[in-house]
Formats: sequence, structure tokens, C-alpha cells
Amino acid sequence: MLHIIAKGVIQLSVKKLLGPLYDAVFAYPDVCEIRLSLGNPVRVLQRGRTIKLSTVATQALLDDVLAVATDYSVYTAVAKMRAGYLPYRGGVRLGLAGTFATKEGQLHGLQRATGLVIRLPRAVEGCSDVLPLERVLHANVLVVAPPFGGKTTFLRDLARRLSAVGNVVVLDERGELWGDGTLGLGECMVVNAPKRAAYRGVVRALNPEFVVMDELSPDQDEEVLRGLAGCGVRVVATAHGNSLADKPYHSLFDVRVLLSAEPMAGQVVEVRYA
Amino acid sequence: MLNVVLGGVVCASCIAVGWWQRRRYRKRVDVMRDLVAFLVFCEEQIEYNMASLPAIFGHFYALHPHSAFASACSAFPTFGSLHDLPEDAWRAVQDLLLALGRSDERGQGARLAYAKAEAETMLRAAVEVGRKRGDLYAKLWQAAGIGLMIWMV
Repeated sequence: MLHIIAKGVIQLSVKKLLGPLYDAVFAYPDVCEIRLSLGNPVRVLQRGRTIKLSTVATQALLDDVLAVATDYSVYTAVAKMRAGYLPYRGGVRLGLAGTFATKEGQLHGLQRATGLVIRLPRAVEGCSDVLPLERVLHANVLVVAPPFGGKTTFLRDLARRLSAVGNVVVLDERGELWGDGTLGLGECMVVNAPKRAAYRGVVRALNPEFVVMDELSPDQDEEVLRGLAGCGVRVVATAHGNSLADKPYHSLFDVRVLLSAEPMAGQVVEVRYA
Repeated sequence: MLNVVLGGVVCASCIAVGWWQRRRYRKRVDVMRDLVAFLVFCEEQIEYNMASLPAIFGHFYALHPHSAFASACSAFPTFGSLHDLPEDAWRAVQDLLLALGRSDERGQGARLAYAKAEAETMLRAAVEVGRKRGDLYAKLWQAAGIGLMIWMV
């Protein structure tokens, strides 16, 4: 039932985002990515298959999608645009390509968009069943995968299973896990707040047994990991990578899962228990 | 006797037309006052919780449901019709509002300050025109009504 709701929320979000392009894109089932590149046909990615539409991405189309994605309020999205992406409702994520303005070596703003990659979230119930609940209830879990490997989908499913047995708090820094938190699975969602700024308050005020985080950054998030582990909170997180080769912060995790994008996203390659 | 009655009716009609003319100009002032109030509200909402413009317009409409301006802007970035303003003036207001939301936080502050200054100028102009033309037309119609009544009687 929740997956029907999830799909509905995502479709509504994407319908608003794409406008008149929506019908052409969703004439195809199982769309997971839409690529808009200025002057080129719009491309739709299904599972492992790319379809070129007859519609060509114009500057007006890109600007319209961006205007909707920022809710006609660039000032609310500038910080994320400076990181090269924009989260949108329902967990939809827009990757930004174009001419950026820089200031003191940092991205300052997007002067002109020439490409957008719209990634749609997927809820695949049962994709984390490879981890029995009894093995993860008292463990810190790390899911490692390359881009498009299915980390976030796996994390969502695991968070759903854990929320049935304990207090789960989701630190959704980029607004990608559930976007605007519209899918109440019993988790507490802390959205758009940097992990480092939010984790102490989360521990003090939200009584978490599990804290779920997406896309760890080793140099920025190690302090957060150690802080949470030191408080007795179980951490469930994802990280980019191609292997379970030991990295400095990996010692904090009792269970590590490696996913692959081949032959399709979410393919479990290895599970390692400490 | 009939002339007296008809004269009265004509006089009352002329006064009503004059009143209606004055009310038209006062409604323009109301719209401009609401625009200034909205921009102040907008600045607060952005500064306090970085609300998006559609949300701010919606919130303003919820607080001012009887305002013609708030109603016409409630579906931002789409605008409804606003008969209280001449078409060119309404387009100028729309352009002013559409230019909001196109910059980062710092730029937004400057843009809002500019919009407020423009809105206050429009308000002053509407008050001045209302005072001059609205009152003038009302008085002219009153005078015409009384004159016609006297002539008919």
C-alpha cells in the first residue's frame, strides 16, 4: 500500500516538474532517470535501456524545469545548487549541468543550465531482505555501492523494516531519502539539515535507536559516526564505493553490504559481518 | 410633482455614479496598500524561515481572504484577473512580483527593498490620483445631479 502511495507522490512531483513532457516520458514503464541536454533529444532511462524521445531539450524547457524545481524561489535552493544538485518533492533529485559562477574557488551559482539529470527514487519492498533483522538489530550497517547501484533504495527498505521494531530517525541531508517526508513510516525525518549540525539534537531530543543516513562523506561525517556510535545509537548508512576494502571509518560498522549496478541496480555482491 | 420625482431620481443617480467613480480610485489604493503589506510580509517570511514564494503568497491569502490583490496572486506564478487596477498597472505589479525569487539570499534582500520602494511609489501615486480625480469626479457628478434636478424642477 505504501508503495502505491510512494509511486503516486513521485508521479505527482514529476508531473509538475516535467509539465507537457510528462506524458511522453511516462509512456514507458519503470522510468528511473530522465536526461535533458540542451539541443539534444530527451533521453529516458529504464532498467538498463535508454530511449530517445522526439522532443528536443530547449533552453526554455530547462529553465522551466529549474523554475519548478526551485519552487520559483532560487534563494531557497542556492546552497544545494552550489553543490551541483537540487532535491525535489518525493525524493526526486536533479543533477545540474551548465555554466557555474565561482567565487573564491567555490561554486557560487548556476549562470545557465545546459543539462539536467532527473533521477526518480524507487521503493523496492524486500530488497534489503538479504540482511535478516536479527543480524542488524544491534549492529551498525554500511551499504556500499557505485553510483546507480541502488544504495538509497536499499536504505529505504531497511529503514522501513527497522521502523517496525524500533525508533528510527532519518537524517536526510539532501532531501533524497523521502524528499519532503510525506511517507510516514513511523520514522522521524530531519530533512535538509547538515548531519554535523543536526545529530546532537537528534540524539538528545528524538530518542533514536537507529539513525539512518545517506551518502557518507568520510572526511566530513566521521565525527558524526563516532558521536552517534558513542551514544549507543545504531547507525545505518550508505557510502560510494566499488568494494568493501577497509577505510578508516569502516571499523565502526558491524555489517557491510556491497551492491553493484550490474546486471541491474541493487545487485548484492557481498555481505560481510564483523 | 412628476418632475420633482424624476429630478430626484436623476440627482440620486448622478451622485451614485460619482460615488462609484471615487470608489474605483479608492480600490486602486487598497490594492497598492496590500502590495506594500505583502512585500513586508514576504521579507519576514524569507528572513525567518526561507519560505518559497508560492507558499508565501498562499499564506498571505489565507491571512487576507477578502483582499482582491491576495486572491489574484494566490496561485503564483499564475496571476488571476484584478479589475480594480487598469491593465497596464496590473501588468507592472505582476512584473515586479515575478522578478522576486530569482536571486540568492543576499540578492533577494536587495530585490525586495527595490520592490518595496517601487510599491510605495505606486501607492503614493494611487493616493494622489484618487484624491484628485476620484474626489473631482464625485463632486462633478454631484453638481451635475443637483443642476439637472433644479433644471427639471
